Amino acid sequence: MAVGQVDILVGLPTLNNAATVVNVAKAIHVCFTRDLPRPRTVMINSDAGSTDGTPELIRDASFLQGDMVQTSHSLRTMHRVVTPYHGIPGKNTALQALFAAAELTQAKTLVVIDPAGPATSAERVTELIMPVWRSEVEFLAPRYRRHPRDGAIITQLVRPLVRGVYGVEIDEPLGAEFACAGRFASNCLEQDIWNQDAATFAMDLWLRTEAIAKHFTIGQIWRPATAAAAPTTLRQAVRQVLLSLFTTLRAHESFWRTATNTATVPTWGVDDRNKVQPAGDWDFVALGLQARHDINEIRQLLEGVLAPPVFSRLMDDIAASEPRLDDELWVRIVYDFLDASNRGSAGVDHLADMFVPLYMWRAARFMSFTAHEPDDVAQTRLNALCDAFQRLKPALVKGWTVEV
Amino acid sequence: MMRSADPLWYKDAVFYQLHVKSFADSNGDGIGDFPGLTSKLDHVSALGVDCLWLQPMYPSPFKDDGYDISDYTSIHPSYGTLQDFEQFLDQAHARGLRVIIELVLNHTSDQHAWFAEARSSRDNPRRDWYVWSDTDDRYRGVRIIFIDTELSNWAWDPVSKAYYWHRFFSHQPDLNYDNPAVREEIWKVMKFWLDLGVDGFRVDAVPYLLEREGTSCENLPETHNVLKELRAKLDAHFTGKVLLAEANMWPEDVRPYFGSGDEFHMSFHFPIMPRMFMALRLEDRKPLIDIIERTPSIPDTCQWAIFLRNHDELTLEMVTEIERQYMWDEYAKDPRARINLGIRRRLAPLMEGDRRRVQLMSGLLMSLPGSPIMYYGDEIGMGDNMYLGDRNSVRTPMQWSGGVNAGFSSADPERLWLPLVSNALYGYQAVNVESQQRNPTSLLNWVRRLIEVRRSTRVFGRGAIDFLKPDNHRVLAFTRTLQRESVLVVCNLAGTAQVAELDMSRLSGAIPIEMFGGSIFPRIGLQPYPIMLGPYDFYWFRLRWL
Repeated sequence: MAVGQVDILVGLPTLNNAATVVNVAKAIHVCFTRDLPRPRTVMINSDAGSTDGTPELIRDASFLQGDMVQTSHSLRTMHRVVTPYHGIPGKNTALQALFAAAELTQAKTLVVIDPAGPATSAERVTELIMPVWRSEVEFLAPRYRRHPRDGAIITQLVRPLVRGVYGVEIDEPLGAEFACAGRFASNCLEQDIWNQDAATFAMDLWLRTEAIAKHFTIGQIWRPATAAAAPTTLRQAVRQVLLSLFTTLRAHESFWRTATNTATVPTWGVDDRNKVQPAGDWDFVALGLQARHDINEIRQLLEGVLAPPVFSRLMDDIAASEPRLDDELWVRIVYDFLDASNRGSAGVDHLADMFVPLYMWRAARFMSFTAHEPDDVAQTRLNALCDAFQRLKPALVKGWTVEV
Repeated sequence: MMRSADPLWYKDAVFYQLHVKSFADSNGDGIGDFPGLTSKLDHVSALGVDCLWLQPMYPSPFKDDGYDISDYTSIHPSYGTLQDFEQFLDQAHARGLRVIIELVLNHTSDQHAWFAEARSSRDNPRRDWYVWSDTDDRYRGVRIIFIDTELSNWAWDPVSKAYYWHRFFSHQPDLNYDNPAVREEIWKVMKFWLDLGVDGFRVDAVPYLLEREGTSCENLPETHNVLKELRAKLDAHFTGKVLLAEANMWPEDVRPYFGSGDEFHMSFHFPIMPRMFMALRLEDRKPLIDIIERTPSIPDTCQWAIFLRNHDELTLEMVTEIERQYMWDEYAKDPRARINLGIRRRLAPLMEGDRRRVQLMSGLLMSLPGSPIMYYGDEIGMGDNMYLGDRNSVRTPMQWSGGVNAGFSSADPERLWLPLVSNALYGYQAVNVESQQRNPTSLLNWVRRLIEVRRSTRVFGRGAIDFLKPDNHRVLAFTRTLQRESVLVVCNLAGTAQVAELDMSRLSGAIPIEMFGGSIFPRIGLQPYPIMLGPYDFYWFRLRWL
């Protein structure tokens, strides 16, 4: 590669992002020119086969000096590499290509930017780069100030599970953007994850938990909240998240089974509490009714997955006329599903399908229970849920330890 | 070696800059002199250079390293006599060497007889040879150049009770070039030296000759008129002489000093120098290409002068703030190395003693557009002494041998005008001419070969430059072309091996012949031409269509 060794590699994995990618590429260019004139930098677009001209837009984009701050001046040659990657399109393949490029160029810092980020600016790219570039941290994940009733799949499942099981208080275990040290990228390339079935959607979670499990230093950075892209239905999203959890827990079994501490994670940037977006307008009553209906439909199947006391409490909960918020029940359900996946008592896809109505039930419960509560009280409940996942972790460990 | 009869000789020449007092001392007073310099001309001649540039050798109180002249038509007694100078000049010419000397036009020393007369009374005929004022508020807003030492461009003269104008130190009053008598007297000074046989002048601080209210008092049209007038007189009376301008400005701002070939023959290209250092440290050709591509064309009879190091600091005036900070961080980690807006270090220490980097930089100097100027001592990789004041760190005595006082002087070491560099890395016991002459692979012998190869073609001095820009930015590649002659230069700016594919389809059919060893490389075709280079390697290829 003519680029040779670089200090900072910014990756732009794309698939039909023509609407936004030029602005994102320009932000990266300005970041390099204005904020990082000294380091050796390269922007690499790893394209999955766009049909809307995305790679051509990046390749041909002209960033004139007038587009930038007048005082900016790059000391070095600016490289812009556009390359299609080989293999089945998916995030794992795109990331694998970028990680391989980082290793090839011996990049000290790798940053992956969301090409669909409508608010991506040079400042935001720089903020993401700097903590890793300054060797203050080896993996940097974005952190968003969420409304406590927003992003239930994160707040009810992924965040508390990762905190509870891995013992690291990382807020946003999912998310397209991140920054990491070249050493971390090399480590990831050596792992047996890239060709797994779930890798196409499990990479975000796996990268974070891999950093935790391999003892890389981790940090978070406040990012302005953006409207989440919703390429999938809720059912698909829940299914994908659960499969991601199965995959990552298996990958890092030896770590989390023995992890006992809870580590806080340093955060960079500014937490702009005033810019919290309001929670979506959920019809949690309808969601709850649908979930109850679906759960009743599969109750026999659930009986084979959940431990008898858990199953019994679930049925009571569903039948209850007054809304309840039983954190322990929810945690045990999640752990029983993870345990079942480990035991192979049902196919992973099948388990994921069964889990979807349970998640919907939990989400609806939380929404209805906290609908009239102040935000800080709802947030306190989320923290309590994290504690419950941690407190009950021995049950997961015990079940996971039993030889199948 | 015969001196070229070509009046445009300076376009092909390699210059060698030296300070008489630092070169060789013949009378054991610890200060170099003309007889000493004369005795070392064989060294300069063997180096293969064409022209010596002598720093000021005039009588001077030496408050500004001799740039404060108190008599324009004599030699400083420490350096010898006018007769010694003439003998030196004859000997240099006998070896085919030309000599240019300093000419400080803008100002004199306040010890000069002209100024003594001018200040003696307001009615003195020479009063108007300088710029006087009863108040210090004329030419308001004109920048002060030496901001560390001067508060104003006006200084009070207690003798004549008036202010006099000075753009540099207050002990250097500016001459009044609005006065025809001054212009005539300066021409007489020039003619005096030209009649003795000097081959030209390096003209100091040219942008500041005249003053006009409401202007920056720099680069004024009237200044150009004065310079044109001097040039016209030069051309009317002499041939084959050269005027070299010192104007530390961007190339587009220097361009007017060439006029239409009727002002200066040559001018320093200041901004290219720091960019050579920057390109090497960045391992990226971008800074060099950027500055060369923004350099305007100049008349055919004119030439840029380029250099790596000189008697001053490695000036960082012609860089951006970001670039300056980068240069300081990379090349002057020790704060003692920093002075004014630059770095007071010699080439070899700047290259951390790395012979390969010294060679690459020397190769660049000899192959980029312009006439190269080599600073004395750099041909043997002399070091510096940052513990000396001002810019004396790079003005220490020439290291001729490993013997007493490095063969520079027979004086007691304490009496030397500056102490010798004597550390283990660059000290005269380790780095000296005598030992390098005996070693066929020494830097000195390599530099001789480099200059010899450069002199084998006029393409480096006069040819056009075209960059090839392979994908690998660590590789700087360009062709120099003069009529039907072409040379390809390929440089690896990196400390690691590199490969580049050069698109030379327009040179298809040419056979590259490596100029140092004569090796023949594969013929250039329509396909990209792969070339591999070791760390800091560079190649010069003569292209032949056979």
